[in-house]
Amino acid sequence: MTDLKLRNIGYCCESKTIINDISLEVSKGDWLAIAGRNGSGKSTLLRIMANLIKPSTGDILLNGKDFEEIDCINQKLSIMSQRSEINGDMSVDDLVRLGRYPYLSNWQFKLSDEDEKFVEDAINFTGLTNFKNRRVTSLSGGERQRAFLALALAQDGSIILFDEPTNHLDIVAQRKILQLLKRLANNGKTIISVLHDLNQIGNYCNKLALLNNGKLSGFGDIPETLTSSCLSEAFGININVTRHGERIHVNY
Amino acid sequence: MRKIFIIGSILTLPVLFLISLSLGESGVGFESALKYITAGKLSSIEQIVINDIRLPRSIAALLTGAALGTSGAMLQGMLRNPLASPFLLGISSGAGLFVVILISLNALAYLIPIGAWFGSIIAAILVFLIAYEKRSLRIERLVLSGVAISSLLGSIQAVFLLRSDDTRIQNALTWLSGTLAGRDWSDIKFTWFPILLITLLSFTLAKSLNLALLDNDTSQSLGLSLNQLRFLVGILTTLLTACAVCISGLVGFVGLVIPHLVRLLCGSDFIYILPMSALLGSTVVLGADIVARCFLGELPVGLVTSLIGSPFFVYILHKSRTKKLS
Repeated sequence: MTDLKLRNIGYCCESKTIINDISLEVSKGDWLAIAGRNGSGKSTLLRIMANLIKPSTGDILLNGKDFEEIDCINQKLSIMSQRSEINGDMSVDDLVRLGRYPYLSNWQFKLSDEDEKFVEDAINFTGLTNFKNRRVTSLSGGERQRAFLALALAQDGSIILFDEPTNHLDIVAQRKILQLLKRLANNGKTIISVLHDLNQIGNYCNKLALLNNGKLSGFGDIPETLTSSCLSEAFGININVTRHGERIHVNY
Repeated sequence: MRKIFIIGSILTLPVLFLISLSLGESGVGFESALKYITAGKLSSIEQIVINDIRLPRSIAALLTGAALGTSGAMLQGMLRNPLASPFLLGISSGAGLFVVILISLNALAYLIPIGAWFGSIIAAILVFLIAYEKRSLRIERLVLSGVAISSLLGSIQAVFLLRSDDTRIQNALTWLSGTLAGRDWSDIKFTWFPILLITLLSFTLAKSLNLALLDNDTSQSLGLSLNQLRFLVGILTTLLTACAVCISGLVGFVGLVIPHLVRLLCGSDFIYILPMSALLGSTVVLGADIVARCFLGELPVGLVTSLIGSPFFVYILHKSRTKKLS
């Protein structure tokens, strides 16, 4: 069982409050979307949940344990950043192999057979088998996102966090990434992602956290939070949500 | 390609080393060098020429090349900047200033390497102190403070040079160009061990430098502490470069270009880049020194590395570009 609990999380930077008293919870297999206007604190909240920055107040518990108390936290959490990039001429295979570094001892420089298997599985899962020897810099935007997704998968964290994973991608590449994430959630991984497209949130995620000026204006399962009233309050404009069977349409 | 390059480099170094022991003005040749290596019997002249003159000079070349190659590779990785070189941290100007001051004050010759060492360290400390902000080292500040300190110390150095007489200016310029002429055991007595130790220690940073190729969030999520890496690389490169400067003065080109060359031939994995930069750096400085002393009338080795190395590097760059395009 994997669950992540945030209790009264706050974050201040240069005497400005970015995140204010946020409490929420996700469990194994959940796909939590974080949405809100620009500057509402979505990426900061995600970075706090990824243990990249420490909250100013409150606690984060993973399976009941504070982040500080967990050994090898890098084996539990992985993140695909909004600005995932590589500064070098690395192949896809070499990039994905970096995902196993948290499992290597200080003096170990070569991946074990088990590590190699994780790398191969991650590359196959993301459909990059034929690209594994290609330079990452030569890939298209969608292929590059999948390469970084493979890196996050090779890390084998139980929680994977994504900051706008479909940013700058065409609709085919967006659908491919979203379907991969859905498969991951179905396989028991916990997915937490910042997403802007409310239709994508409605059709792929099962939980939503709405942020407004650093505060949580709504949190819960999609049917309760992806509603006209909640969205209109979070975004400050009129938003209509309609449901056609299992499909959700958000108009604004 | 990588395998051929590694095997080629490993085989070239001992051959060059043997050539370095064999060539010189005294007439002591290959046969004597081979005898020396295989512990054969040598005349006292041969013993002196090889053991006291050529061997320490060759080792000095190896140490200088390994130190500059390794520190250049580490800095380029840590700063994510292909233009970074060990002299970016103000080390060259700090060492240069101290040496020019000592030469213009007519100080004893043995004080010059010590002055160079202290000059390097003091300049690097200044650069790091300026770059340190809010408990972290910012790359942009580090590069900019390096440029600022280099410029300041370089100007002071120029003032001293302009006020010195011609002989002293020539001495200072020879040193500033990087030379191995007349190096003996006393020149490497205190630096061989730190260079060897720090070079080996730096290899343990290979995984961290690989992670540093990624954006900050991803690398941090994989366990990299960027601040820790920046401090470690800063300390190790400063010490390595200061030791190299102490031996041979300012040998340019090696710290900047060797890591590039290794990356072109070997890929971007620091597990290979670091040892290969040390190996290739040693090979290039040793080769350049052989050319300098045997064919160019003791031209400073730093000039030879730049004169021969730069066009060669441009050729390699061009070749790699055409390969990528095709």
